[in-house]
Amino acid sequence: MTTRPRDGSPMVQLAVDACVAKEASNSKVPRSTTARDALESVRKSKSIVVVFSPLLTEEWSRHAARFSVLWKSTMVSRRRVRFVADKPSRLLRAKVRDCLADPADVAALLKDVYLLELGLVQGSRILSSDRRTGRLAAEVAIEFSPLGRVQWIDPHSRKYNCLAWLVAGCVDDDIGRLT
Amino acid sequence: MYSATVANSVGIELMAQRGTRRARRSPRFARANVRIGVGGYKSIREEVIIDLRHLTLLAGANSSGKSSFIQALLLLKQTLEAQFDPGALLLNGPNVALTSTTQLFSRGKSKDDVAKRFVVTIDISGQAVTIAFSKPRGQAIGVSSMRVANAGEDITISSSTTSRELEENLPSRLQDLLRSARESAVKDEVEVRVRRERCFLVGEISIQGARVTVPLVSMTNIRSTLLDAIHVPGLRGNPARVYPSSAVGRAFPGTFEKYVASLIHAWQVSTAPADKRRISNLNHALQALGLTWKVEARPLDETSVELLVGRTLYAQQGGAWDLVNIADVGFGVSQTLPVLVALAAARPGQIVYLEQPEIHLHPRAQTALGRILVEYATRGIFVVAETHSSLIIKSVQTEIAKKTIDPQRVALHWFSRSASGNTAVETASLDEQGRFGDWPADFDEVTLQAEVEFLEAVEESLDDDEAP
Repeated sequence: MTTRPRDGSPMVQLAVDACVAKEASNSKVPRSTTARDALESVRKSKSIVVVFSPLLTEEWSRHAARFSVLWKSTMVSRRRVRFVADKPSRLLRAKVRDCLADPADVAALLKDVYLLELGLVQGSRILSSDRRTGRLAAEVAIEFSPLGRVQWIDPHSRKYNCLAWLVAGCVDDDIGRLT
Repeated sequence: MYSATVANSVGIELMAQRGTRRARRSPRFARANVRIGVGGYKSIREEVIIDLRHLTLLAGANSSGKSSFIQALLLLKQTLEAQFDPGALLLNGPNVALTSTTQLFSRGKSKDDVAKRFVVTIDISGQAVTIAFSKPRGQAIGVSSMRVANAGEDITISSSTTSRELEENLPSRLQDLLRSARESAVKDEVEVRVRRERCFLVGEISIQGARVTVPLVSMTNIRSTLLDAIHVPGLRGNPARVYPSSAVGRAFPGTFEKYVASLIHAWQVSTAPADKRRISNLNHALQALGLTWKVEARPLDETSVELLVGRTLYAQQGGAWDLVNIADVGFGVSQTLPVLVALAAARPGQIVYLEQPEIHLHPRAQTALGRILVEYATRGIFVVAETHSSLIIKSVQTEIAKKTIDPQRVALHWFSRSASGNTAVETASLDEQGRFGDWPADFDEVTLQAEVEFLEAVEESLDDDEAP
């Protein structure tokens, strides 16, 4: 079911990495505060719908904490969560193997490749504080241009204001692009 | 080891299965459509109309008008149940205690800003009545008008309705009767007028002094719905060592708690399968709530009954007599027992109004209570619960998502007060997954905010500790 904000504009899809939920639930300032502020901005926004695929759900469950479970439950109650299927991209996975020289990097990126697939195949923005995965994905995007369109937003980034972007409903399509 | 959680869930599951089967066998109740409207009463200035479904949850901040809304119906109930004619409304009764009409009518900021009328609408599957009460200066509160609608008929009468107007609205068979009476020798002794009968207006035909009350439209359902309504108040009294015996029948005038001990005893000694089931369900529910495995009523003499409860949560070998007086255990049992007994006593179609069913219950028990409310709602009882428990609401949402109850049978009304102090009600539309979409600031947000504040306080405290 597609929900729309009251002004009738389409909802923006956002995939929130489990690492953001994990950070938000602990007390390690300043990252925890920033992560919580980001999640609260998502919740208060009327134009963001959060996507969960089975793999992302599994990752959230692995890092489940009181705050993150409450946040997700509130979002579900408010019909602000869209449950989608994982849609693996063989091409993307092949490019990851081809473009990255270090097998450890390949393994690291393939572990979280479902997030990139949510962006590439299903058009979701990605909110993640996993800098290594973001950096590796950017390396692959140099060789695989479709991946460059994916927005990988780090809530702690100093290059852009993530909170302002979320509050504005993620309308800026340029920030956080992998290329 | 016997797991409490497993035992609880098994008990409830069995009850749920039985309830689902029974609900399917009672389709006429599944179709009942009940709407209630109240206006001009306390903080409810403009008329607010809500649907009552088989499970209706009234939530919202303190003093937002949840209790006031149902009080309007309870005023009618206590007026109909009074042993004497108390006038149009019994203000100070067992269900609602008012001492003056000034406490009843909505008022605004200024002294003169007072609602002129207090209106109650009850609509049961299209059989509807709207009664307006007013208090003319220097007189007692009275019924100023009554609108009745049923099967296409729609009539409004008031104390000033003339005989002619009333006659025109009479059913045709009564018009024929009047015509033949007027054509006979007694034509001068035929009179038609509007008369107040408790909180209703009725037509009255008098022929040679013999009076016949003529309900303009049948209100049997509405009257019996009010009289049958079970009211479990928020203040359920202290647990007592001994309870007075009470007669128990199908209706429970006044508030419900005084019938609890005698009802349990009546079910215990009854050989009827339905009563045996009631006792069994009651004990299952008490166990599911983590309170006790058994409750037993023991008459001490002809006027008093003692309530005993199992000392342990589960039945144990040789433990049938391991019972203690209800006054010797926690408040949870004595405060929840009226809720569970009311649900077990109710028949399909009967309204059970529960004020704060969750009081004195542990969070786990509140979740289990949500499942129990759902279970009884699926049996066709109209369970109306005024609650501050986010866990009850979440539990109901969960049961919807599990398909235990159809979302169409659940109503969630959120009460709030505007800046001017008037009640506003928003109704959540639940989907098949129990999700309600956009709703006013709700319990989840408050819990989440409390979580944020706690984490931030911990972080600040750690910062202070780590500062040089």
